[in-house]
Amino acid sequence: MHNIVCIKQVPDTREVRLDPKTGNLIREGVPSIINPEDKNAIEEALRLKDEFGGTVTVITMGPPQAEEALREALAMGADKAVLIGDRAFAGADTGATSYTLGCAINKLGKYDLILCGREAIDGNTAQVGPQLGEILGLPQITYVRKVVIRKNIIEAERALEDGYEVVSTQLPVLLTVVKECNEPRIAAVADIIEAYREKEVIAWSAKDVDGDKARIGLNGSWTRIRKAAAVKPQKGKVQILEGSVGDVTKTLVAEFNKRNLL
Amino acid sequence: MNFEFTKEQLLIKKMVKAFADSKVAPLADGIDEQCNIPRELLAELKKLKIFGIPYDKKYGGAGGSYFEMVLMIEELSKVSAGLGFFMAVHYLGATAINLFGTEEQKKKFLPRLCSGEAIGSFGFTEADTGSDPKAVTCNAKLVDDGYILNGQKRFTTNGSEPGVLVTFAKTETGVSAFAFDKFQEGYSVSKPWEKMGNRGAETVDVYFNDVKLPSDSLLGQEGKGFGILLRGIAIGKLNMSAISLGLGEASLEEAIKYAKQRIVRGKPIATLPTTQALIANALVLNESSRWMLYRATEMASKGLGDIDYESAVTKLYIAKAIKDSIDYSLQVHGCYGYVRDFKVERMYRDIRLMEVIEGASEVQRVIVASNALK
Repeated sequence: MHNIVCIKQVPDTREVRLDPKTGNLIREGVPSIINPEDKNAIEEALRLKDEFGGTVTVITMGPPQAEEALREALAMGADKAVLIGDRAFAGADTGATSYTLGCAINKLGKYDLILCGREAIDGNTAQVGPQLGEILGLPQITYVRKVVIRKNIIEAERALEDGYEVVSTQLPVLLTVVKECNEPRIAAVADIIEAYREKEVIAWSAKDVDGDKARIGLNGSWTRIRKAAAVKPQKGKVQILEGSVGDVTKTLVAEFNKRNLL
Repeated sequence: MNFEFTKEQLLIKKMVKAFADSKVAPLADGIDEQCNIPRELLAELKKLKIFGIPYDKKYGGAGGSYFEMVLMIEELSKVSAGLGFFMAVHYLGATAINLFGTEEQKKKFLPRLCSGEAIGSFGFTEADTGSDPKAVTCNAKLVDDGYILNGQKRFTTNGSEPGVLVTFAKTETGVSAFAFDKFQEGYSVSKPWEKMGNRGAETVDVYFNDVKLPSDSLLGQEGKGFGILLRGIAIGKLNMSAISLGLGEASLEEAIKYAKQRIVRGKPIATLPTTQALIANALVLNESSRWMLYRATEMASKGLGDIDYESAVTKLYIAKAIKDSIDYSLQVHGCYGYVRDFKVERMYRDIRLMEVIEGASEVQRVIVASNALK
């Protein structure tokens, strides 16, 4: 079984602070991590490799420092890592990013599964996985929380707001996974040393990916970010209700109704 | 000079921290109370592949350096010094074999030690001798096909764990070092000592009663055991200092957390200059210890300088500095630092070992002063 995992290096938003004056994110000194649900995707690919054998290839599009994310994936057990980086990719929106990843995946050759995290914690669009599935012409199962494979058939549980549904299709397929899917393994120390000293991260430029220039980077993007602003939480007046539980409840319900909150 | 971790070292720190926080922290109080490492945790530690970090890959090691080993022990010790101590003693035995073993001895012992299947230990101390080789009473009698070992070793940490022991005994030509599998015929241990701290690793007395050792158990040359002891514990002192540093950092973190939460007269005590002074004092001691340890470890990793001296200076300083640092952190807690509900109480007990183990601080001073006066 040959599986490809698409990952993204993101700032650890648990460590991000807001500038109290400007409301902007302070990114200096914020550690970079593998996007958490992408880590679940890596784990699922490795779990399937443990079960069925085969290989796991991780791929990312990003700046040179994204190599760190790939090294961690190699330390977790991935066999091959590809870093797609080029100035020509700068400013890519989710569509151009998906197109670029699609071109790279086509160059990688045969595969059984493409795995992505549901969404990245810095953009929260959840678009790259599904767009990539469309570009590659694959069936896709999103929001996956459990995977069972028998022969050439995959059966997956999709997490819904109030339950789950079971979806089945043939391989090859693209999956986007949610955090409930598994608990990503912690890379072993000896494997980290091996990942840094003995394993290779393959670097591909725009030329290597060999896509349509009109569909990559800023030029290939259909969307533009016109403005980003921090939303300042508005503070309302605090009102302390007094009286019996019954009276307080009635007043509270009336107030909620007045504000169309119920 | 380079004061930056490599990307590889940063990832190792991050992963060991993630492991310590998720797998060790929930067990840390139990490790201290019951004075042993739960077997389920040992199985998880094997998966983390931390038992042979600085040794060659051909023996099952990771091919890393002493630096990565020290970082691992520092991170584990932030959460459980008992576990850090267990690992440090494992490395004491394994490193002696790695440094002084023949190719055959390395192939025989290191793969099992590197996988964690065998736990290393190291026995020099006896009931009436600490660092004096002349007072060693254990003896190894040369016979046709090896040696017959008799005697008793005191305070042998991990002596009750299945694995490999490096120990020292008198032979015809002086004190010699031996490496062999524990629990063969004639090997037995006492019940564990009830220790003040570092209670994860069991410390026992070990009894040798006509233990038959094949001739390839001799480590290094006969009569040259004291050199093996000195070099082995030189590396060991780096690991003991790593435990100390981890304890200093963790106790300060606890003190800072407490100082921000504890309200006195309507304000967190972190706003009081007296609290700030305690925190600053602890921080300075931690930082000075950190750089001293990292420098000595980097030198040991690169084979620079006189490691016997460097590790003695390092341990002498750090054992006292971090003892004082934890004392400041405990003081921030007031009486709460004195009760078991707060982690700093355990750390205060744990650190006390470091001024008496692997040569008490008085012995370190002799090494340091001898170097200065030569």
